[in-house]
Amino acid sequence: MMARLRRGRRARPVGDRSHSSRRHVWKESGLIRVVQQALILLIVFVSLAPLYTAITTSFTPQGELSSGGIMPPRNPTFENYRVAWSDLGFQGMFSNSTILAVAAALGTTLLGAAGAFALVRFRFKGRRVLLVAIIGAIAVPPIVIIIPLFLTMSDLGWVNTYHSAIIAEIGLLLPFAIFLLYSFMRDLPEDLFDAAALDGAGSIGQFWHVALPLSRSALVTTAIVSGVFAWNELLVPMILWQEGKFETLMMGLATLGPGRTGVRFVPLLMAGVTITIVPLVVLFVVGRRALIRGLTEGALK
Amino acid sequence: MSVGTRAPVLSHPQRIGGGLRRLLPVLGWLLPALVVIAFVIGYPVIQVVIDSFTSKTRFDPGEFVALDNFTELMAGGDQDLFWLSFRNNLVLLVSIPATILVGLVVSSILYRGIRGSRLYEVFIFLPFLPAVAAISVIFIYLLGWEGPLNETIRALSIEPLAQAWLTDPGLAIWSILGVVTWKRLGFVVLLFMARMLSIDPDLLDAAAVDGATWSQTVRHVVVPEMRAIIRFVGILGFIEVFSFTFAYVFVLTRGGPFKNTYTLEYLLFSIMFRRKLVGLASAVAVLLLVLAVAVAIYQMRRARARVAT
Repeated sequence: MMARLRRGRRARPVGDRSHSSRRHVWKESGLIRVVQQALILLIVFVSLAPLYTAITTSFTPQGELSSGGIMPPRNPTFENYRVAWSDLGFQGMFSNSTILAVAAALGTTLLGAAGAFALVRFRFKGRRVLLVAIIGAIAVPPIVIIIPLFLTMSDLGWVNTYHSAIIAEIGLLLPFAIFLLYSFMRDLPEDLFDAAALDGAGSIGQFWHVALPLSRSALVTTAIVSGVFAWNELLVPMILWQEGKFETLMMGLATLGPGRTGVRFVPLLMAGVTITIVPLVVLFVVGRRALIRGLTEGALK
Repeated sequence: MSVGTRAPVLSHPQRIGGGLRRLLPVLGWLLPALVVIAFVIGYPVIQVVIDSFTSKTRFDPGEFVALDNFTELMAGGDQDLFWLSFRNNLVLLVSIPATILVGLVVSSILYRGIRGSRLYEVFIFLPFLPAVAAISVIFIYLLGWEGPLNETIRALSIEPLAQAWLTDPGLAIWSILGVVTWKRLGFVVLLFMARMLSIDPDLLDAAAVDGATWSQTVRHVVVPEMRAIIRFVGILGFIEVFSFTFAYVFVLTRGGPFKNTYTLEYLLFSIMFRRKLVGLASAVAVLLLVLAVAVAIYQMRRARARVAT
């Protein structure tokens, strides 16, 4: 993970093909091409069908849900969204999830940037050990730390406070964030820091005027990836935010989802599911490059 | 974090031997992150190891019991839940070869380029985006007895294939495996595509000039080039199966029917939060931790070896 593949090219985002492979000429029969095309279409269908069904069902009037639910609804309605939002409590869950995701994204990025900066710009005893320990911490399963963490937070009286799940989430995301930001900042040209130092900038000045502006893309990536992970998290808020007023979208879905396959309730559930996906799709459309870079960076090193 | 002096920030990073005064600015920058990591990961890891050797419960600090918790798990009292859970984790491991195989086929076709490739890439990636909890709720509906999947099967008059996908004791874990594989495929394709795009095009040109077909090129040129990323995806899958599948089980089946879909994570969760046996739950945690650390060390070693050669 730590070691780098020293290659010139960077990972490209999904769908982005700046160097086309079409200039290669491959001998291949037409039949094989057709099979390949069919295979891809099959995989695309399998990938999309569940999401598609969820969305169409969410617009189906309650009671009109015919078994199957594959066809788009004849009389599409927003009613399910209204009921889910105000009566099923998705409004409150939405704001709790937003608080968790935004706080975790900001906290992780800020602390991660400061930590990565220190690891890049200072040489001190035990630096390598620290770096390996931090990267190793990525592998620690959340379920393992949740037992003592819950007990500690109980002792501190922090269970059912906003900061408990936020701190836990930041802690779980930080090792990955530091790894991402460290590998990025390490490649920044040293001359720029030197120039700033010559101009009399202390470490704060170098951090603020050199490291942060130059790492903007990596910072955005870190924030987006952290935000998405925190938004999608179930375990941490479930254990640390047990009171109803802290319920997040994922906790709500995990509570409401099972055992409610009745035809009347399903459209409401699917509206709830769609509510959790919409912000992710918006983020994906806006920050696709950053998100993809964050997800692939670690793997290509 | 008042780092006013210029001196500690070196224009050319070099080793700072000792002296707490020189270390202070480093700590200023690192400390906030380190404190949070220590609080959330470091201390709990130590605590969980200590607790695993005690009979601690939520209501009783317990006492040192040496390896009793581990032998209790291994001996499989308690309805053999430990071994059942472990077996179920092994079933979920099938998602690794499945995603790698399908992922290689899909990405090699997409890389070569067919009409609509770019759009297809995005489509195949989409399942990776939503939360596990969200897609699990969708699949509860899809896989229900009267859900769309069974209705489609009935409409096609192949009735016997209609199943109680999530409530049949023998079948449920395989359905979870299906959902895990469905969700992870997009991510694997993403990584494979990213890696393929960084393969030296000259290698491919050479193969094309030699008259190789695309599938021959994939087998003899692309796959060998991608050995490292394939191994990484395998390791990532291993870590995910043992450490990040709790939400699938929790939402899809709650470990049921009749505890048939327990995994180690779910076992830990139920021992800790239903039966409140901290010591026993910690023992499961330690086993998971050992697995994760072993795999992480293996990966780090391999990654370093790759650069050395």
